[in-house]
Amino acid sequence: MIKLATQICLFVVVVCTIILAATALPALLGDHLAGKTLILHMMASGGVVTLLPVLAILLLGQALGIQGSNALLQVGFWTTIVTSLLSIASVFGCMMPITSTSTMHTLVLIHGYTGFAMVPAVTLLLFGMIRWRRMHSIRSTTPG
Amino acid sequence: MSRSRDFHAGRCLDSLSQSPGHARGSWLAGRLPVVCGSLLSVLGWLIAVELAINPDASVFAADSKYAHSDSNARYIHHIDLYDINNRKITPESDQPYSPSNTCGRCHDYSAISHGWHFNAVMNDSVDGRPGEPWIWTDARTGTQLPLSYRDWKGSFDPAELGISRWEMTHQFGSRLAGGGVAIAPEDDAKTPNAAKTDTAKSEAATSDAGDQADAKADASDEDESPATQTAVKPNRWPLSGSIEIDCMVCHASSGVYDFNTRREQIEDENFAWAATAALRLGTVKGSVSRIKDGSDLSDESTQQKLPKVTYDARKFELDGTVFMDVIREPSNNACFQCHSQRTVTESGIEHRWMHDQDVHLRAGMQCVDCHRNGIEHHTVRGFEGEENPASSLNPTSTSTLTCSGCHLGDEQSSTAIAARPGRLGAPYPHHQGLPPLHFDKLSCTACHGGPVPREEAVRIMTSLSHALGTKEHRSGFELPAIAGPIYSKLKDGKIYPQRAIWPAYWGSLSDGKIQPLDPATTYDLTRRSLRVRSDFVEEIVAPKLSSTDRKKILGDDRYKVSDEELTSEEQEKLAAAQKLAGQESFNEKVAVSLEALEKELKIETAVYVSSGFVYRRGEDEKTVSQVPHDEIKNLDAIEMTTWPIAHNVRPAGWALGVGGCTECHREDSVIFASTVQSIGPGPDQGTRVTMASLQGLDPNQSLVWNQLFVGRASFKYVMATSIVVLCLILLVGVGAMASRLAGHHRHHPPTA
Repeated sequence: MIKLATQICLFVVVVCTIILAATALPALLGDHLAGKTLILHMMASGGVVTLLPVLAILLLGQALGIQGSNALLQVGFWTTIVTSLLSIASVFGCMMPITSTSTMHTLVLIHGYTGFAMVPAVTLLLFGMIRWRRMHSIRSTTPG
Repeated sequence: MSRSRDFHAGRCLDSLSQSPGHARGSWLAGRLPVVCGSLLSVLGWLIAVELAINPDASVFAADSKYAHSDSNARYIHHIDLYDINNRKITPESDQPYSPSNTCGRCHDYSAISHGWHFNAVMNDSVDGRPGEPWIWTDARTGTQLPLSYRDWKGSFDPAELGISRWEMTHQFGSRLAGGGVAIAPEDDAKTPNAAKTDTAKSEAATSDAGDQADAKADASDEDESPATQTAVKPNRWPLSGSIEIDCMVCHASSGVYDFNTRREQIEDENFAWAATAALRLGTVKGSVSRIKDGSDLSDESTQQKLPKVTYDARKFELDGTVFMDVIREPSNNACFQCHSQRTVTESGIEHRWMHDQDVHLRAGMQCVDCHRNGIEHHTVRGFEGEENPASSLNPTSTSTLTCSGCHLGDEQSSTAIAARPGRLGAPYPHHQGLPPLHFDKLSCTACHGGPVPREEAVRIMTSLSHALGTKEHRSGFELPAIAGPIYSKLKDGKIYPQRAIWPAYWGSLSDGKIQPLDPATTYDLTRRSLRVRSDFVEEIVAPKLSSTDRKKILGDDRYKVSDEELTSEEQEKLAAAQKLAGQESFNEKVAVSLEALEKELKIETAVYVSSGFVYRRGEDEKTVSQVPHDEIKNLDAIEMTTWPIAHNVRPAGWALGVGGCTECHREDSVIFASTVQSIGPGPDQGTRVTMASLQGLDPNQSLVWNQLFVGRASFKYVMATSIVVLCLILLVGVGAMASRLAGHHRHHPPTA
């Protein structure tokens, strides 16, 4: 059950991260996100914001090396946590009615950098998980 | 709609020196003034040549030959007055003073004449962002026709319609500061007053040499147009004179200048006398309007009919000078003469006490603090992206006179001290919680400017269109029908609050294109068929029901009861009957009028345009039918015309969005969901449309967007929880890492 939950969470986080990165591409050209692109970006962000903490809790044991793990998974996990935390916190700051325009510009910049940094981080996590799953699968089918 | 600007740089000064005074020179002036006038003409041409070579020369007028005081102190003007022939005015004179010959002695009149308020007809002027057009309004024919010499979308070039400059000056002169269109074209001013064509054709023919070929081509084209077929109008310039740029309109000390007297003089066609009368330097007796067309100025009886000034001797000092109470910076009161507006609700004109002034004025500022100019009078309009010729001197000095320039600084040259935020002590707006995306989508005025937005656009009255400032009984529903605020986009893609008008006019339909007819000619030709005394709407479209009709509808007992006491059912019955009567009357009279226009102007199809609908004669006699829009190739000639509202600026606390995101991002927000309906004198009004549709927004997208914002507050809690969880996990990770490092050190202590 936990395995299934982990797989679902990881799948959603990966898909949402791809959508978030794709919809944020216009920002690389200096444009603001707007219209349908922004709506899609906001909807996808819901997936990451909601399920990434759940995934983090589910994978914490492996990330700490208490359960079976690998270096790729651990690096992927912690970089995902750091980048996503910064990304979510920066956009959360923008949503507060206390941040001025200039602060918001800075926060949006941080959000952009950390958001794009999430892509390789989540990729590492994904490959780490796949690698661990393969190893785990071989060990279970060929004991001894 | 191309614009013919045949008023070449410098022509103004030249024509001024040769305007009515020259026509009358033969009988008024002696040799000496004529010589002076000629010298002035030569000087005018020299300046014209210089300006033609270097259009920016006017910008550098401060370096001209004219002396300047260079002090902040007011310069006291005890000066001699001169008439149009350059003769000094004494208490015994009977000629009006000439601002160009009086003020122009010490101030660069030619440079001033290129300023924004005067240069609409000049070739070298910038069209700029659309402003309020001159709306030719005739309640008798149901006409509200937006006109402009500037190339603004939705407004028509008066010259193309056969409306002469003289007619424009007579119609709108009371709101013109003089100069430009109000100056007689050279030929018209000089020509003895034989009947001649004073139309776009003749004006085009008087254009400068460079434009003559085009003008001739245009003129030959216009020979075929209906507008000119009956537009052979008498030339009244030699009688009326010109309205020279009247410096005192703006620069008189508050209360010195009598705008209503000026208005009366212009209505009486006493153009050249308006400045003298308005300053109350004396009394003006006589009216050019009473002189018949074709009167010969060399005729003594005509000369006697010309207005005469009786100067007030008390105004003259012992040395013959007159104290002109001049202020350098115009007072707000002078600006308000032409730049006031009132909102009108269903219950009429909103009381003035209910409205606050612009927040800047309340803070003690003056209009001219932002809307500045130098001697060249390129008044800063104050919107972002403005191309002001004065900016060539110092770009920052004009760019920081916009909303964002003053409050946020000029980001383009942020290193300069003068480009920093806070000009004139403007507070820096932090716009807390407002995502920067909004600055790409919205103008400053979208949230801060214009009347407080409501569920639907209301009617607006303006000084230029409704002659605010004159003593009249207004209901607020007089033509022209202007609506606002309309939230739609300009060329920069940002949403602006705007005013809107739906043109209403009589025109011709040819090859699918609609062209308005000269409204004055239209009035003459439809006067008998329409039989309207004063108001097209009240007498044709919504006629008052007779007591016989009321008796039929309400019965013997109720028909005398006042409308207020009637039941809603009875009122509905009356309204329906009135509408029916109006429809019948409209069909009958408009059909006959259209037929008259077709016959008199020899046009294939005459049409009446109102509220976006086009009416032509129906197949049956005395009926009209609507022309389907797909038959019309130039829909912009009948559709809504808008121009931005800048004032009044509301305080930050009254800005849109202060109440949070959902003030705008919800289904019934005023900026997206408020509506506007086309309004005009005709019987049909268009369907209500939302601001979102005017902005080209996808309604489904708006719906999704609004729904997203419904859950935004809850989502903030989800995000906060997510952040807390991730922080805790990170903390655990850091703790674990620290623990491992400590363990590693225990097992492998560092060697000394």
